Amino acid sequence: MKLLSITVADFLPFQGEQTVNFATDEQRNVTIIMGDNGAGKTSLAQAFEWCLYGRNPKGIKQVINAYQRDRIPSGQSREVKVEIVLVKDGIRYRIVRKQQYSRSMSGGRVRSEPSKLSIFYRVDGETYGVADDPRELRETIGKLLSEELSRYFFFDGEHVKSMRDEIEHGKSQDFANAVKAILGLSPIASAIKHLKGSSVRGAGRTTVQRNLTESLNLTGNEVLNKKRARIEANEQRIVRLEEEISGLDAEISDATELTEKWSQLLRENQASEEAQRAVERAQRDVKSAETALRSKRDQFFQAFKSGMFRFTIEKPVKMAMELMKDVDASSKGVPNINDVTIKYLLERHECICGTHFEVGDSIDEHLHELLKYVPPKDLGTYMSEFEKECRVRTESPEDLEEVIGDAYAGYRDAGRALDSARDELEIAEKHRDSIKHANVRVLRENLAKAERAKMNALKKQAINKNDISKANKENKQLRDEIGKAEFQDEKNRHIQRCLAYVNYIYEYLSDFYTVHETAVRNELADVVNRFFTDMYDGELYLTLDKNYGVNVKVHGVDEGDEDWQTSSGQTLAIILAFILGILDVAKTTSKEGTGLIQGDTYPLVMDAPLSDFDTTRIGTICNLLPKVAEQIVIIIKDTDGDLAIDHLSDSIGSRYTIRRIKDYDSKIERE
Amino acid sequence: MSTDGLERVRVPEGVDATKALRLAKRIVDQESDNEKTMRLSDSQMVNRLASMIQSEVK
Repeated sequence: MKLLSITVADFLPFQGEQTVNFATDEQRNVTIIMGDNGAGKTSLAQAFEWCLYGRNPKGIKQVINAYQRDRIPSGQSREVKVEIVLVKDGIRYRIVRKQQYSRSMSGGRVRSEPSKLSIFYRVDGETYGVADDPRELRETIGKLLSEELSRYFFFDGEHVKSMRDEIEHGKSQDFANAVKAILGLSPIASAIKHLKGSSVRGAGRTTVQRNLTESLNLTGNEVLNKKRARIEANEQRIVRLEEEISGLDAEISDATELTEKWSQLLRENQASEEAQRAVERAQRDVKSAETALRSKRDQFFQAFKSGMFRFTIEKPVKMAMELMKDVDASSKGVPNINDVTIKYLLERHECICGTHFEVGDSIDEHLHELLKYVPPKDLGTYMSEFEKECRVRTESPEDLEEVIGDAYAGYRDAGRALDSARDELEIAEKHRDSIKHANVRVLRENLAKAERAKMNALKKQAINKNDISKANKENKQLRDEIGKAEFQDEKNRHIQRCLAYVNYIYEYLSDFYTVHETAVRNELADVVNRFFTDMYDGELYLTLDKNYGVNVKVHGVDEGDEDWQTSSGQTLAIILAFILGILDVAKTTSKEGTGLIQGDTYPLVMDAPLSDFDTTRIGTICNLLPKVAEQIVIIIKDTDGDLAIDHLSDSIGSRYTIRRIKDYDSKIERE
Repeated sequence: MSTDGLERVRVPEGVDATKALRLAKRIVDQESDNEKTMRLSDSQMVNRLASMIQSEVK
């Protein structure tokens, strides 16, 4: 990347629009910008950062020129602009950042709008604009020079201080990653991490290998084969069902013919059919009469059965009662006197009236006679009880003879009805037989049979057609599934091939990275030491640890892990040596044969880089810078600048001076 | 700068070493672009690379 120009307009001390055109010639690649203290050298350096990244200089809230700001009328505004023109990879970019400052109508303080970035680029004579989208703009700036890397190439006193801290104390992974990014190693490390995960950048939760492996569908062929077998079985079944349907067509046709035949015959034998129907009606009547006869017979038997005892005894009982009608069954006993009383009198031989008697006399005989009529042997009582029993057995509200007679009459009538029905049947049969036509019953049975056969065949056909439809539907679904599975199978093979590539590329890049990272780091250490030695001859030398941290050592002294303390001049020399070393190695790696390592080269914009060096070292550094960096911009105070010009005279392609006219009014003049 | 040792990586069957190297270069370029722009997250980069490999490998 090479800077072509920077234009500032009303930015910090610069009033109006002023431009610096940078030296781009390969031989004369140095631009010197000189100025006294307070003229605005650092402001110009800060204009780069503000334009590219929108970063205000430390402690400054408004970048507008204070003189112009204070003269913004009420209700009006003024614009600050910084424009950088650069070329990278053959494309010319124009990067413009503007910021509007306005004073309110009431005349209060000036307020700023957010700055606005625009990027234009020119390809094949045509100019295009990057979409006005913060993300697009940020990405474009990132591709040109990411903010992360910018501090190595646009640095002022603040950057030098922070870099010194980082180089001497930080030695962090971030620092190492930044260095690797410049050297072109970082993308390889990221690729390794993303492919399969690695110890270089840590194993990510998602990797290409895992992503591809998860997209594999490992459903076995067994399932596929089962589906194919099922389709074959269905197809065989469909053929069989279709054959059956075809056979059923013949059956239906035959049954239809028979139906028509029997129907025709039945129509032709209508009289016979009617006679047959009369016979069937008579047969049904006979059956009904037989049923009625059985019912009446049962009723008759039931009536006789329930009155059988009474029917048997009624006559003798009535005769006995007739005989007892004239017998004096009244009691000859004495009321309330029983046999115990009589026997007592007989034993005492004395009547209750006091008359004494003897055995055998008339009183004794009378008393013995009386024993027959006193309880318990009381004949009158017996007869009375017998009569009562007879009445119970023979008396009933129903007339038994009438009941049995009625039941018998019902039975008899039913028998007659049956005889009559049988006579009717005989007449109907004789009439039917006298017609001597076809047997209609047989015809009707045949018709019903044919109709049933046709119905069954149609039903079976419908079932078969439904089964065929189901089988076809299932086969379609199975074929779709097989199609998908076969597609998946092909997809799986493709993924397996991709995984083979992933593994190979991973192995290749890992091996490549291991070999080259060590080689690049060793080379960087050599180059940094060479530059450091050029700038600062003495006993000090530098080593690089695995995180690219610089350790200062002294030849011949073993101070353990302790770093050697350095002066500010030595520290600055270390930083310069380190940056130049990175640029030098990046230049080499960008020419790497495989193209996998792509170190980027950038211009070096340095604000007061020589202030801490003595005249000898300034000469050394001035000789070194244009040889290593492709483009140098040195912003320097007048006293150091004159010395630098002496040493850089053959490399200076552009020279400017910043003059302070008055406060907030500095002019950039080309020499 | 030496490249000794890279031959140690055996090329598996079915992998075209030239195509693989070309693919590796594209992957590294993609990573390089993304490191500058920070446009894609890790998982997005993984998806991007997986798609790239799948479309390149037939």
